[in-house]
Amino acid sequence: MTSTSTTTLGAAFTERAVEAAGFRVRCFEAGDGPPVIFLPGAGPLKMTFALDSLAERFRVIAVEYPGWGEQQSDVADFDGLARQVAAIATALDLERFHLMGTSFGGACALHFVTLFPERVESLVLEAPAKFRDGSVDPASLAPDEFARAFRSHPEREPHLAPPDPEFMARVWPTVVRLMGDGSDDGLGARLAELPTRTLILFGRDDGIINPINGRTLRRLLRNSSLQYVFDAAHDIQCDRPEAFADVVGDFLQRGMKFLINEQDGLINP
Amino acid sequence: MKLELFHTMNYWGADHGDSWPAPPRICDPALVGATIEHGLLECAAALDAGFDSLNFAEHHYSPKQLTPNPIVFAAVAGRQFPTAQIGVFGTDLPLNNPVRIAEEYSMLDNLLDGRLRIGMLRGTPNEYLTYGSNPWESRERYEEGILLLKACFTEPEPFGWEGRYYRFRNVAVWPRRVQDPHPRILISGNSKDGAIFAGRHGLDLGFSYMSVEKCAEHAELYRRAAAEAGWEPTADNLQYRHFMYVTPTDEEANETMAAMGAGKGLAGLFPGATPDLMMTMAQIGAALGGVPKHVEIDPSMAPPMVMSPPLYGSPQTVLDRIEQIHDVLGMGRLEVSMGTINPLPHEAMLSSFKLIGEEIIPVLHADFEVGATS
Repeated sequence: MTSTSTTTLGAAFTERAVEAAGFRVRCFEAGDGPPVIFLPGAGPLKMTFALDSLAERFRVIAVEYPGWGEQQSDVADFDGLARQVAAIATALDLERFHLMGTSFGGACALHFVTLFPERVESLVLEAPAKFRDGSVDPASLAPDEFARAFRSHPEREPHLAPPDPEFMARVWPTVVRLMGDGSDDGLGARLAELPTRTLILFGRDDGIINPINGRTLRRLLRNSSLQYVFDAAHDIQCDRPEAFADVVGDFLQRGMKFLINEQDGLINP
Repeated sequence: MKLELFHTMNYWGADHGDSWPAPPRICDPALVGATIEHGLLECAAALDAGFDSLNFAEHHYSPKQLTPNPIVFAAVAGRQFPTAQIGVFGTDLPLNNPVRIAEEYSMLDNLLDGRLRIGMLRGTPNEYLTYGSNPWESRERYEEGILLLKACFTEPEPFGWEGRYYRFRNVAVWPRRVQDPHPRILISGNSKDGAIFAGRHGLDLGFSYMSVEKCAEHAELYRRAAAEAGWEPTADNLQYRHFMYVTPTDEEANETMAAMGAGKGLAGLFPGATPDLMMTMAQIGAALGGVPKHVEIDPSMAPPMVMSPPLYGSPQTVLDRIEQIHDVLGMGRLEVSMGTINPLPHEAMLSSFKLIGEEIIPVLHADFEVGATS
């Protein structure tokens, strides 16, 4: 059982900047151990208790996408964004690492692993926004509808903040361009037979990306495990941070052996 | 000697997946129905041929055996064939709640009017990925579970159990068994620990597939432990499980089984498994064998399980082989599943049953010692 910190969110993370792909990119890093690159969702990068917990066991590096800062993104598609992420990893002196992506970041991570499978030790996909059958365009939702679709527990920290209009005006066109209409862009065929060890996570109450899409990924990714998180919506890290850090940390540490229960059942000797 | 059928209730559909767990999407309920109907026809044919018991076992998440809870199918078969002996060999006890298992077997013994024998096993490595059971605790949990199960069967008053792995403050199992105090219990003798435990606690001992010489070593440990506990097992307490296919000629049996992939061992269950999954299974297998948690195993260094040759061939060839096994092991019960990990087609199974009934069973019943039930 992993416990969440009671200190300020993200307090252990330090900000640094790297030059990559023609951009000055902000990265937030904490912890020691095997490196984990975290690709956030489409919104502004936010810290979570789940990331804090993982940073107690791993070197977690959350990266801000090129173009999400002050410069404008010029990337054409997810493959392009994945190549920019590869450049960031190289700038961080990381040749091989665990890759974790949430939502939009999960889609990017999927493209990344097809382009650079040799660089990915293992892959974690939190509600990835790539296959989107039965899903909802968050931009089509009223604020209260979005809140319910996004979080099962909006009362938990960090609280859901309304989007910054300036950020949205600058970044959202890129997000829309990359996300496309959800039609098959050939990624499924590229994922087939990929050997990468992958953990697919969906909140059972995800109102943005329908959890049925986890099944598609489980079928496509031969070396994968699909885990549903109970009582969580799209933002699993914030709805169930302990559960998220527990299952992800176990997977990152033990690989597929995370399927084996190691928990001590001894009551008394 | 008694001959018992271990019916695996293999899914009737052609698509079994190629790994474990098999995805439920490939399962067609209509074909599950066909599995049940054909399975019952095969059970009937086996009884007509003279088989002494219909046996089932617990396996999970796979079309290889549609008996995740074998007690369910044992109840169906037992009621369908009202004079048949029924065996469940067995329940994967560390995966289950022993008190619940005691309740279910108590009810089953009543449903079958006492025609029941049961087995408590630890399960194959993949089973430890079914309900999240800790394989490093398997041995201790298993042994405590068996003693708890026996207490459930024998305690006449409500009681509590303050165990190492089980804590039940209030137990009173209903109904009482028809067999007093409970059906005979078999455990696996494939490990030395299991053989000694069975001897100490008055249990039957079963072997599966392992080399007969190795089984005989363990049987001797069993007999010694039983002697120390004050009882003497007979041949009837010893059971040996293997694959069988009897045809008019050796060539026919061998060709059919080679075409079905016989001889690939248990790895044949998961031909498409990823290296990660196979390593996971290997780690569990090592844990079940007593390798500590912190040891990162190298499967290439694991001692291979030496299997005995299966019982394939003409009636005379198979009888000769059974005699060799009996001479070494002295078992009174031979339990066979038809084919290999992949069972025979229905028609081949029926024709083999006929030949077994004509040529094998009369000899086993007449010429091989069966000791008195202990």
